[in-house]
Amino acid sequence: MTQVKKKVAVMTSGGDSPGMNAVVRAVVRMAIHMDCDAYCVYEGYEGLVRGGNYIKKMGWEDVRGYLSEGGTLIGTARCMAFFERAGRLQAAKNMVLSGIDALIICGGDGSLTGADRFRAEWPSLLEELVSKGDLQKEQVEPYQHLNIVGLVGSIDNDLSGTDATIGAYSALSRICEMVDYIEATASSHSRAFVIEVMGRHCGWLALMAAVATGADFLFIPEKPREDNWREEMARVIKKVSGILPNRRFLCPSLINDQHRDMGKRKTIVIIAEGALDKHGSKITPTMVKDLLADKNGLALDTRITTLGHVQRGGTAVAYDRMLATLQGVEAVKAVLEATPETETCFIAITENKITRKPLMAAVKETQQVAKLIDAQRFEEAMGLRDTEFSDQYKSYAMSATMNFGEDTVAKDEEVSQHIRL
Amino acid sequence: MRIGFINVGAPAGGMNAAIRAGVAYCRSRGHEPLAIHNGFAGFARHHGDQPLGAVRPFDWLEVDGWASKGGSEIGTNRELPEESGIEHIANLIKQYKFDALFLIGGFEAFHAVSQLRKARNQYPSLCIPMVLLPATISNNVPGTEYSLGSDTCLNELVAYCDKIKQSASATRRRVFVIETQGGRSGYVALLAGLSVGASAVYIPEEGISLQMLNTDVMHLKEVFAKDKGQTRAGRLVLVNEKASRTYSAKLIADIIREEAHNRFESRDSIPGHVQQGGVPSPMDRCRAVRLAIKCIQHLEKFGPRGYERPGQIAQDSFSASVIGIKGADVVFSSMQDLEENETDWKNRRPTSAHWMNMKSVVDILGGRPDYPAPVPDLQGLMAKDAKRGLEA
Repeated sequence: MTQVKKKVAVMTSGGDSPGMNAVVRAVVRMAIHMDCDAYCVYEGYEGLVRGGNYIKKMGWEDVRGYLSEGGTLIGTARCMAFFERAGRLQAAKNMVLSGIDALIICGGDGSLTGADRFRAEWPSLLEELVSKGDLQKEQVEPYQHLNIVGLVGSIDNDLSGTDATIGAYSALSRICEMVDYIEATASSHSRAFVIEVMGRHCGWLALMAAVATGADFLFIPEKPREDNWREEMARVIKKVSGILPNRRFLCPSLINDQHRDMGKRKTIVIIAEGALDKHGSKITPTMVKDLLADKNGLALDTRITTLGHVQRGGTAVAYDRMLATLQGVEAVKAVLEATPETETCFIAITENKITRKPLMAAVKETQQVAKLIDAQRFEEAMGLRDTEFSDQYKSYAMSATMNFGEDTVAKDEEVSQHIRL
Repeated sequence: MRIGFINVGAPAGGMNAAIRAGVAYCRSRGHEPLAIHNGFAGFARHHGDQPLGAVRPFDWLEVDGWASKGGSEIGTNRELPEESGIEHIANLIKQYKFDALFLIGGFEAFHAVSQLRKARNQYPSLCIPMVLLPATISNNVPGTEYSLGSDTCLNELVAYCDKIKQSASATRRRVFVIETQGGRSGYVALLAGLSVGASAVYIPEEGISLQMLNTDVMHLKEVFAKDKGQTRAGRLVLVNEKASRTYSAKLIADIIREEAHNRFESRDSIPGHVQQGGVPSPMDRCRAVRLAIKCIQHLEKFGPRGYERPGQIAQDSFSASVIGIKGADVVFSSMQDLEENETDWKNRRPTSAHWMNMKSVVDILGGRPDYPAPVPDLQGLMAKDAKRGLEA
């Protein structure tokens, strides 16, 4: 009997993110290298349900140049049909007809949850297809188990268990670039800007952007502000016109200084789209702006910039290309090594290490974070984010003089005698 | 504590962000951060300049704006303490009553910490905690898999290569040979190759041989013979500046052009110092903040006036250390341990390249054929004997 080549398919699903094309290229080429046939499923789950031309065999040259393209070239779509069993039944039939042995899906937590459910249902779907007479028993025989591996493609970086999702650093780059531009005009006009960034339930983009740009104040879902956030923000940003030159040199008495008091000419506030106060009510950019612009308060000339879809666009940064490529390669190895007993896994990265992790545990944890935030159990929510997240949060708190209640230690005695030289 | 901040070596993205975070953290803890301008050269010869000496406090209003600045605001210099005069440096550290040193830089900074550590038994003033935060585009500092600036550099290279590839594709059938920096470390060349889909990457760790070039050139000829594609027909070859003493980017491009016999084209291109980047990448900036704070926290543990108890400081091997990312962890490594066990001093890089396993991925996905690996150079007496036919 001649050895039949395994067929490995790759699909992008959910919102597009920079780096998805690098995933497709890596999977297609690695699969071919491992002596498999490579397929692309176009338009996400929609393509799986429609079948036919949507499931296409790919050659080595077909993915040439994919690394330097943004978005996803094989398309993605919101697919309502796949939420229904009938849709999944059709998808299963199409996969059997195309002879797909393994499926690699790059998408967000929603897409990956769908994938795991699909896998769990797989035997019963095949059974139904045979009993309905859609497929013959012999046809489904070789496809008793569906191998699925997930890759996390999302700009939000909201999946638990991995430090970075594919696309997150590209989006962060875009945000920082925009903030850098805004800073120039903010500084020139001595203005305040409230910048809203994406991220759904996750404050990663907002937090990292604040760390990278040295923003004056930050609102994220995981760390909602106390009731007095208005006073707190006002204190930090307090405006005093003019620069006080003799106070510009560092001295301990300035430790709790306020940014405008020091003569700072620009004010940047970064707000995550999911920002909340302690009671779970939304904090909007307009609320922040009104406060900054309040004639009886700070009275700053304030503008709102909502970055929107700019954040999703463009080509992937080097890190995302590397991450997507290495994870794509690992995913092909993982699907080929998987047995019926192995749990569905996704490919993660921790600091500098690429690993396989159980998918469902991570998805559950991710959904748990959202639930905890909804239930206003913020400390626990923060605990479920990775160490980098809380580390960076502390870094931000320390470097931005926000006085987040982090420990400020007694100065050692000699510091007080300083300020000479 | 009085903590001296100093940049050593070439500029790298994130240096300023690291200083800003370190200064902010020092302020919140009541320490006194002091800038040492222009590296050890500035310290040694300009510390007493009037009206502005090389050692001075930070102006927070100014520092606060450094989060996204490229280059080095306090100036950086490659001079090593032994070149400046180690006794002189030790005396200055005493004179300015430094309780700790925070160094940010590349392999020179690593070398500098090594020199200062080794001179501790002669000069008690050097018995203060010192920590190095690696910052170099070459990513060649022992003790870490990532150095500040390397991500910025990769992004510059990726942007550069994307443009070159577009040009190569538009003019059809053209190979570009691009020379990258990185010293004797092939890290940026390889990772850039991974990110842009290079047909071949030449790195110093492996070297270049005639047979290897031959295989790659033959492969290019085959590919172009078969290729009737109208789009995306550009090819990139990346070569590290020190991959070979003979086969430079220009020579490789010339060889390819000669061998192509007018069936396709070849050009060389050298981005040079553009690779240091303009505005540092967010990853470099964010990691700078996080790692810098960890560094100051590490220095804090040793307390002020270490020079009054030199034995105790010198005995603790972590009093001179390097912060780094290794695998899944952020770790401090003792300088002595790194010097003795993980440093290839001759080639100015770590003894093992953690990224070498990515080489096969680049080659596989770039469709590069198997090639004969170059033979490693013989060294010292072995080489002498071999040349005289006296093989053992």
